[in-house]
Amino acid sequence: MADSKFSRRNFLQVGLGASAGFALWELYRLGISNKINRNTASLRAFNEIGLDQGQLRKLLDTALAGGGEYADIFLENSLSSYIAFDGEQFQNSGLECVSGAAVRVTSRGCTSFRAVSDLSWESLAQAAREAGASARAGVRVQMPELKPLQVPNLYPCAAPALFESMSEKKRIVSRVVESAKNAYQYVHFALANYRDTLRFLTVATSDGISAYDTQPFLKIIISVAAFNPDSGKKGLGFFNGGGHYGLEYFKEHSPERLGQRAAQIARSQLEAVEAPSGQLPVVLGPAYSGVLMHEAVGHGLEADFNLKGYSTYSGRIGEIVASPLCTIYDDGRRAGLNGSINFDDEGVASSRTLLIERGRLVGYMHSRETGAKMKLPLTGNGRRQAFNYPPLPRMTNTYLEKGETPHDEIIRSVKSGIYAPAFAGGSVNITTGDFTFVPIEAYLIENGRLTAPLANVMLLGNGPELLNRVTMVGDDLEISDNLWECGKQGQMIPVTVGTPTIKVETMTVGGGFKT
Amino acid sequence: MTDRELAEKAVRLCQKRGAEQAEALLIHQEEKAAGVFDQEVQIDGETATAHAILRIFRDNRGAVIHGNVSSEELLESLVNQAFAILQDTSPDKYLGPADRSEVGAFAGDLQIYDEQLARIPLNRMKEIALAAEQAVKQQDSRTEHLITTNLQVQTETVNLHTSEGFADSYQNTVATLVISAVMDTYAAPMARLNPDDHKRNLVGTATAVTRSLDGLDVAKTAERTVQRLTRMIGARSSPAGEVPVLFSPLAARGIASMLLQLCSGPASLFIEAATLGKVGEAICSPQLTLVDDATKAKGIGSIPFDHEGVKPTRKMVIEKGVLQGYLLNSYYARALRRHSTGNAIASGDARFGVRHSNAYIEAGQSDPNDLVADLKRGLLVTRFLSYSMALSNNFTQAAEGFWIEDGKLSHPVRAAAIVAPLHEMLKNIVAVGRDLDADAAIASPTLLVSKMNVSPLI
Repeated sequence: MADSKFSRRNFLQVGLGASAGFALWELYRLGISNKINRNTASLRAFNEIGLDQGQLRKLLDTALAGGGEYADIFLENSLSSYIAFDGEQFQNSGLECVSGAAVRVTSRGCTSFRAVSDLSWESLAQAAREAGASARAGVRVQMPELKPLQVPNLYPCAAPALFESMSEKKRIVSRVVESAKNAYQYVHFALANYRDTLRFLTVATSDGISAYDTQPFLKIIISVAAFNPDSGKKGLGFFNGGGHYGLEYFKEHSPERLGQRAAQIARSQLEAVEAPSGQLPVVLGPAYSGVLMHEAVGHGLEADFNLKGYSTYSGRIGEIVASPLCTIYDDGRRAGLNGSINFDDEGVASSRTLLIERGRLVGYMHSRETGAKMKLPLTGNGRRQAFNYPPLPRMTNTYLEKGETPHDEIIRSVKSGIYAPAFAGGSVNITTGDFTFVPIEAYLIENGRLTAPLANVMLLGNGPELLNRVTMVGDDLEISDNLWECGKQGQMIPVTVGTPTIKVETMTVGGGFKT
Repeated sequence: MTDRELAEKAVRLCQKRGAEQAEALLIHQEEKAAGVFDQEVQIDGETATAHAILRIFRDNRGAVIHGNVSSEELLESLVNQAFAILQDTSPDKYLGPADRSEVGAFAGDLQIYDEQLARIPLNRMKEIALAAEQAVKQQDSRTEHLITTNLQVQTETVNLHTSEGFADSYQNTVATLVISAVMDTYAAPMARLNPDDHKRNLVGTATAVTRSLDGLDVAKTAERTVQRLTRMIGARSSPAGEVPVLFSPLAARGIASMLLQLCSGPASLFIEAATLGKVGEAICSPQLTLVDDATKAKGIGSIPFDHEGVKPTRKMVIEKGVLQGYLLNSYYARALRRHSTGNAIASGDARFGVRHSNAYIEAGQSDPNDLVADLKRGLLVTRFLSYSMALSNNFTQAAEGFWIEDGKLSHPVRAAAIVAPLHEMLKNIVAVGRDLDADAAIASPTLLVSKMNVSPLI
């Protein structure tokens, strides 16, 4: 870093001496004023904010001093910048810094957890002592030396967006809003929210892992409201994009496309007719319909629910749970995607986990706790929203593998049914498998052709039953580049979903006035 | 340096750097949690976080910085960054701190802090969680193996200091007990359609939220868990048609929540204001009165001042069907030429957000049992299955409950779609029960809507 006025050594000294949070602000200040080399290699050199290997080892020793089978340290520093534009004003501009650490100790099936935002050594040592205090004596592990975790980098980010000029970000949100407003005459309000984040993680575990990660991230969300004063109809459209990218994301995913897509969704609602209801064939479009897999199946395959027997898939490994056309993965190793991670928040390398293979249930997604209790290999799915939450088994990028049928052929196969290409989200009862979804865009299929857009469509069903009724799977797998946020026990984490076009022989469609 | 001193220093720093107005909100949170499953403690945890939110105004522009504050050096960095981003925002004439005439703190004791709860040891929390599991088993032995209880206690210390002269602080405590029970003897066979709806996994969950340790009623929460678990035994489809729909207090909270969303400053400004109507217009049945009361003793939503330092109030949002006003913070109040209602909540947006305090639909005169007995046919909704989308012309939800036939609960309904145009649904609320339990942050008694379109979803 010949052009840097602030050497890495200085930086780490400042960081360790004055707390990692201060160092993070300094990094930001230097970055936006162009005083450091912004490329990823340099940033990785700044990974080690706060604690070195010796200090991590000391904390782990302290945590296990009273006994305990396992301990880990999680250190997080992140900085986010954001801005919004509504066509007239740039608003909601700010910065958010999150920094803190958590210490966990596991002993005889129980986990003790302490999290602090005070990153002074005294505070961290106290947290380690308290986490270890609940461990029952007599169980003491011999800790190996900490070795750095070596994993490929899945974040293809040329330069973190956090360090780019705000004027460039303002241009982007302006383009999104302009294109939304120009796309349809009845759009009367459009709002683009932009946010980027740079997150530094340190994980150290008593089984000898030290892992450092720098996670760049950006997201953009466009909301559009349309209103036709003649008909009195209203429509709302939402769309978003982003992932582990810098601003180069917008070269491949133009801001104009984002705005136009949101406007199109709002438009479909204004022009929609009432949806029919009853048991109907439903064709789910590629990419975004993967949220059904996520909700209807994915949550039920998170191992903590199965460990407790709560899931509708509990105790079913090896059984046929879906049509033979269905093969489902959770894959944290896809470069750049919203849910992708180099390693999970427990220091376990992410992986591509086969969950359902040609209809047969073959695996769950594990955290360290569930893997240990169920005596199964770890899958790199132990994730947490932030340092002050305990890790849980969570999804990453969950998708249905592609089939062989062209999309058009699937549509043509339906005499009377629904085509739903876009969803905002849904909810599921893990125990029964029942789910509900409200597509934000849906169309009537009549005699093999898409005809009218539909309003008030509600899809309800049961996860295992849905998978059994899949009769056609398209050759057009797409992983959504939408930014999905998954909620579980009050924790939100980024994920994504994917699917090819699929036909479900019948689903319950409700919500319209026509029966 | 105490939090108060830190907040004061932050404001002085901002003013020194050139802010016309500045606010510093410091929030310390301590959380303890204990989780139990199958008579074993699974997790115990404590977190301690300190968060600062700095808001500055200059030239009708505003910026917000939020982050952890653990040193004066960090504070200076935060202040510096706040000014760096201020120039990126557009001038907005409604931006600014609260009006001086509206700031102030509630004078009395809201009883929102319980020392006993704040100091509760983790071991005691584990005992309570274990006792909750036992309480469920005593009520229904079928739930022998699959009960999860989680108890969380949060203690918060809030300090607010503003350049306009407001400086005050408060503490509050809240305990949240969640009990979930699964009936495993009804495990569903997989991979084939099972028309026998008796054979489904059933789950019941109940949550108790209270400000004090004495207020935590483990037995009542366990009873509610079992009630919700067992009431869906034998559930099947609902008939279809246009029928009256009764909403139980738990379900009716969803309607209250939707009304609050539609009657808030952000919604009224940025969504079609005609969604419900204008202030002074009848927007729903005259049976309905919606109140937001931040001054209720021990209320889960009670606060002595909001995040802008505005004194909280008790306000009618809807009175006998007529829209009286919106929940507002200072920004939205200025935009609508009204007064802040003391409902500001700090956010990353310089305008801040709006949240309700203790909101409830006032109790009516009707006995809920009589409301059932008077119906020839209808649906009693006990729970919504879908998430609510309030910004729509129609009220469209999936729900479970009980079918009513000849004045009696006939059978549980597993999932039905209930639909009506939103305006019509609100105007057709023809009866309000007297069974209001106002302990939750949002509460409602039983509500009867005279007609909605019901169709079976399963």
